[in-house]
Amino acid sequence: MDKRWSYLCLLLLCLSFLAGCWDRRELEERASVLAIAIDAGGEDEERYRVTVQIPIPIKIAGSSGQGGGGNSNAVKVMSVTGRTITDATNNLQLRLNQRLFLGHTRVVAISEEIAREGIEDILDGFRREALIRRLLWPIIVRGKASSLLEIKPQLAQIPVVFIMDLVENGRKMGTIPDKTLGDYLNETSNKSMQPFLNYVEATKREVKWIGTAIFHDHKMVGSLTPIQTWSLMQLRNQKRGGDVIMPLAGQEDAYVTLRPRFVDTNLTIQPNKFKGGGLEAVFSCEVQGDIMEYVPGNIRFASPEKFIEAMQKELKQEMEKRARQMIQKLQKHNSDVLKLGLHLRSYHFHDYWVHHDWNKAFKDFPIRVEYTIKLRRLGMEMEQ
Amino acid sequence: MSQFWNAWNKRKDRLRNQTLEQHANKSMDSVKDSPVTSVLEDNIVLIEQQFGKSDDLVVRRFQITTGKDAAVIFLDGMVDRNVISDFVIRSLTTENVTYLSPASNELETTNQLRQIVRNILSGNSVLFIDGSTEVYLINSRGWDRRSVMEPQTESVVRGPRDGFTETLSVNAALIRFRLKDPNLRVKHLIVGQRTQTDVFVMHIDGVAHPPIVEEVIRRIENLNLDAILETGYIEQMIQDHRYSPFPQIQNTERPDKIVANLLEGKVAILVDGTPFVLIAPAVLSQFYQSPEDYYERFYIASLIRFIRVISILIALLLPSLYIAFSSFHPEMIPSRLVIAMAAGRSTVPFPSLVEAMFMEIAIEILREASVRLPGPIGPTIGIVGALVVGEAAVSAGLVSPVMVIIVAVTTIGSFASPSYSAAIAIRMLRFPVMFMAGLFGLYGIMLFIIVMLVHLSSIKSFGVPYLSPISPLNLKGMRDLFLRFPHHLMKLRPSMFRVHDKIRMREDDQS
Amino acid sequence: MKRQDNGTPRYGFTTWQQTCLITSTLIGVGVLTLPRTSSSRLLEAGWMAPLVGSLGAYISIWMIAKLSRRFPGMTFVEYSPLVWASKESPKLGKLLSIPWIFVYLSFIYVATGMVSRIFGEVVVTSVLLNTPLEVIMITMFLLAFFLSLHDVDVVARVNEILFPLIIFPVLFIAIASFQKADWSYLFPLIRVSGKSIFEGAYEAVYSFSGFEIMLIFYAFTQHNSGKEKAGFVGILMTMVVYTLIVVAGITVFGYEELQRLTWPTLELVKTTQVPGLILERLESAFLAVWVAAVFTTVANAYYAVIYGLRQCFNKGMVFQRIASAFLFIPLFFIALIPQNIVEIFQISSYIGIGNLVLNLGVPTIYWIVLFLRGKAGIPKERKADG
Repeated sequence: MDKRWSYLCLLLLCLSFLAGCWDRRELEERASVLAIAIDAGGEDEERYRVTVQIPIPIKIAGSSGQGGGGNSNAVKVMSVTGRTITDATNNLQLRLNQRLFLGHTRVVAISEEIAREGIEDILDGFRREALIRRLLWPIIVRGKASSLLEIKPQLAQIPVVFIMDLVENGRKMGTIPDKTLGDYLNETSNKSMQPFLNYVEATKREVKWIGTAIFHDHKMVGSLTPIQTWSLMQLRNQKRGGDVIMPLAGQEDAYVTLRPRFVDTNLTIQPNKFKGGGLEAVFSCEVQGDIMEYVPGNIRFASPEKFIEAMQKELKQEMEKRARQMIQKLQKHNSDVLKLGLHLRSYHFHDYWVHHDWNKAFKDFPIRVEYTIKLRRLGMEMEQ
Repeated sequence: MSQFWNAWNKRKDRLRNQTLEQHANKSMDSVKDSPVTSVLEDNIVLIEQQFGKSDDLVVRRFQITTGKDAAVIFLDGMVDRNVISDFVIRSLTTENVTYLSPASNELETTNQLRQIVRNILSGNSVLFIDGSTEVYLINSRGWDRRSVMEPQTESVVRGPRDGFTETLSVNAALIRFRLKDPNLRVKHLIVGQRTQTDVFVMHIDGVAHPPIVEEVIRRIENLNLDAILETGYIEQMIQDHRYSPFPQIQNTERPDKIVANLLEGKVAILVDGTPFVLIAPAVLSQFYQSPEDYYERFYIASLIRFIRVISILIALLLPSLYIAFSSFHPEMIPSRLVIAMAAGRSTVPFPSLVEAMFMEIAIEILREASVRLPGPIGPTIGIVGALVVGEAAVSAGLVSPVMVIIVAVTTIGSFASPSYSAAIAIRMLRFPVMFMAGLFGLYGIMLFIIVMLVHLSSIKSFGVPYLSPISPLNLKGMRDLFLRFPHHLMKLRPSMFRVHDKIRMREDDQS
Repeated sequence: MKRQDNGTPRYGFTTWQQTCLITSTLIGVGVLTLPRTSSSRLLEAGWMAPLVGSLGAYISIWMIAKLSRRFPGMTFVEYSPLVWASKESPKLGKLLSIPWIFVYLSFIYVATGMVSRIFGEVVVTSVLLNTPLEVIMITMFLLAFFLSLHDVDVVARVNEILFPLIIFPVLFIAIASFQKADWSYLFPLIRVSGKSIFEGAYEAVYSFSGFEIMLIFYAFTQHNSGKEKAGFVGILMTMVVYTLIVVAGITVFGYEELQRLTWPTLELVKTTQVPGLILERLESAFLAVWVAAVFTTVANAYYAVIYGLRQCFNKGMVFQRIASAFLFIPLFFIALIPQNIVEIFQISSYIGIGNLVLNLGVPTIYWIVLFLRGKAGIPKERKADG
């Protein structure tokens, strides 16, 4: 009994000599891939062209006082082709001195071309790979996906960090939807809804968020503009979206800007009053916000109350119009990213869901949007 | 006639020598437990033979007023010479004493040789008077002793400044002075065949659980050591699990801590010659508690206790967590940080396990060296060494900057534990954890923690489970575990020590 | 020199320790797959599976506790002969009870092997990708072996100390992931028929196996402690934890996606984002902490088997230590029998059902026999003497 400890220590010692640390791989021995871009292969190439971005630690400023400065080459961008994604990464491994490490991959950029063909095949590998984060951001890129990795933003040393910050900041401000891989997978698995992903465009130096790409059955079928995306976010996630800049009716160059602060949306399914029979969905969305800008200021109202009243009315119409456009687009592409189908399945299962094929029914399902605008403040300015 | 006497004396000497030589090991047990004779010279010879004619054995002969020869025997340096010259010899030679009562404050008589020898050894002087088998033992102990000073190892900001000294009687007095309870019981034991060390076992009757007290006494009595130089000997010999790295008996230099523990129903073991006093039984939670926790307000006391627990965990786990994260689970480190860390490590030629081991061993060497260095130089060398070596190692690309931070934090964390014996256990265990982390990453760390917890659960200190009050769960006892509840909410003594008088504060006592 | 522990009283298991023992034994690898298995038939209503699946466990633990009350201070191995024959014919009793004891012990033994295999699989597929499965299993066995070296009261204390380490991570994960939850996924409440509720619950039964170790451990309880209460509370806590995890799984993923995830609970951890936490990707940490939960499952069951064997042969502590060192070898090979992950899940679901049958069947038979022999009376409580 007293020798127990010594035996145990001996055993551990033996074990460690036998072992040889299978999984031990130092930080610097891993080629951390921060972003992957997936394009279609060229004419005579294999199906996919995969581009990865690997930071070069020694070049990153702030690391042990050296390096820094020339941030032009703080990352290495490499590109390979392959029949599948895993094939491509294996090909890439042949060109690397260290093992590829996907545990830090934060962005998967997919070109629109590929996305329109369907991305189910691409995501299968990501689904099986244990190291892949569920919280990474798949992003659809207009044009070549690899262009996203080649930008030189200068505001951040590593381009991917710039993109991460862009999305992260947008998420915090409520202007960019936080669509992770996990969300995408959940939504594609779910038979009552369709996924959407962020949609960006990369120029030589910069990257720009240009709305969202909407999907149907893993295939990108269309895109929403930022303004439409904000409507979608208000209806779907109760996120505030971006500022609403509305041209004033009947005037040249006259605009009013509403900054939504708080959004509350209720979805109710009720018997359709107008078309007779069937159900209709009503999104009632209450937006509370401030007036941020009002130009030109030469039109004066009798009193602030009048001003608020008039603005609320006009903004309501504008926002309902925007939402209608968005819904029309969704219905045109038959992509229910609104989670309307889920609502129907959850709360109207027996009376609606079992009798209809949502895949076909969404196109013609009557959807109404009712906005209620509540102006809270006029900014620092008191006069209208 | 005189020839006959000479022959007789010689024969007696020879016989005496024979009996003495039979017990060749001259430890205390070998001293024959026999009565002394009434002949003064015989007795002196007897004693001198016991001590093998040691030169520090002083025999002072004189004549007392009744005309009889007398001798005082003592060991040089261990007695207060004033006591002997002023009170013993002067009173006996000048005053007209019909019955013997040397004017010393403590006086005993005996005729047993063993007791006489023992008294001489412990600094008393012995008075022989010709024609009498009564031998007087005079308490004349008076060697130079250290005065009561502030304890070096357990300093507190608020709290008493006195610490134990090397003198047993002073230590006992320091406790008595704080605990004026007639129920405080002291059991005197003598341990160590050669050192004959005095040991006091203290407990409060009616509070401590008698079987625990008996068990402590039994274990000390059964000790067969020949030397007790420090309480550490007793601690290691009487603890339940001798192979455990965890201390199962607490030691302290602080009398207030001893009194507080006595009041919780524990047993204190005082040993002559060391300022460290043992407390048994001990549980794990005691090792991060400090007496100060009870002197300051409970919010801050609880907070500080939490900080201590965290710092102990840091001291144990931080380097291994670093190894696990950087070698096994880099995906857990935020992306931005991981690039910076990889940059720091890119010049380091070793795996992080070797890097960490290297740095930890270096810091242990520094720490040990700064303890050994003379007084004021020690800390200076420690700081300079750490700064210079750390900075140089980083710029030489031998270790990464993060590692230096980790080692520094770990070292500081291990100092935050109020108990040195627990802190060194943690310091030591850090290395196997690092090793396990180097094998299996976080999984390995957890394996180690589980082994450690199983071991901790299996330990009992004098029948008290080491992890109480967490396991077995005792919600009342938890009030003094991580949090220190206000005093008025801790009306009961901790029940895990099976105290008899359970109530610490009577209901009607509080205002 | 071995110190003799005079005057140090034996601690019986307290009620809380029994509860911890049951809960920590039940919570093991089952949680990792539970959201998937329980929603495979019940779809959105998967959270009902742990509720319904636990019914058998309640009944069974009640009967086991009552058996232990009938024979206080005795393990299943000790009282089996008394059930089957009178005290005068111990040989006959022993002979008749051997099949039951054998079935029970071997069942627990095999189940232990499966648990360690499943845990090995999950570690190897998600965290330590290059480490051989065998190494993970061996380390797990070594831990269980280490526990088997100790006395039985150490088992109780270990479970007690590890209990928070088991409960808090799951609760944390379940509650943290509710931020991402979409409660619509839970509706419609009832879509499937009543019959398939029971069919669906059958998938969750495996996660409620393991409490049969109380056949052994109830013998060491303090006599005045509530055995039934401990059993009920233990299973209730497990049930609540399971239900929370399933609800979290369904509300975060939806039942369709759940069916595609091998280790849904682990994916749940992956999806969980804790604001302000320095670390990302908590699944490695979760699995590391989860070692504690699996350890308590494997080690408790293994201890029960070893202790049962020890009592069968009337041997002492030395036998226990030697046996625990050697019985790992066959267990290791048993655990390696299933070829792939699909087979493992199949076997574990069979084990779940077999377990339910055994746990409900054997105590029932024992009680029937006791009634028929007119010995069903529960003796008056002895005064607690320890």
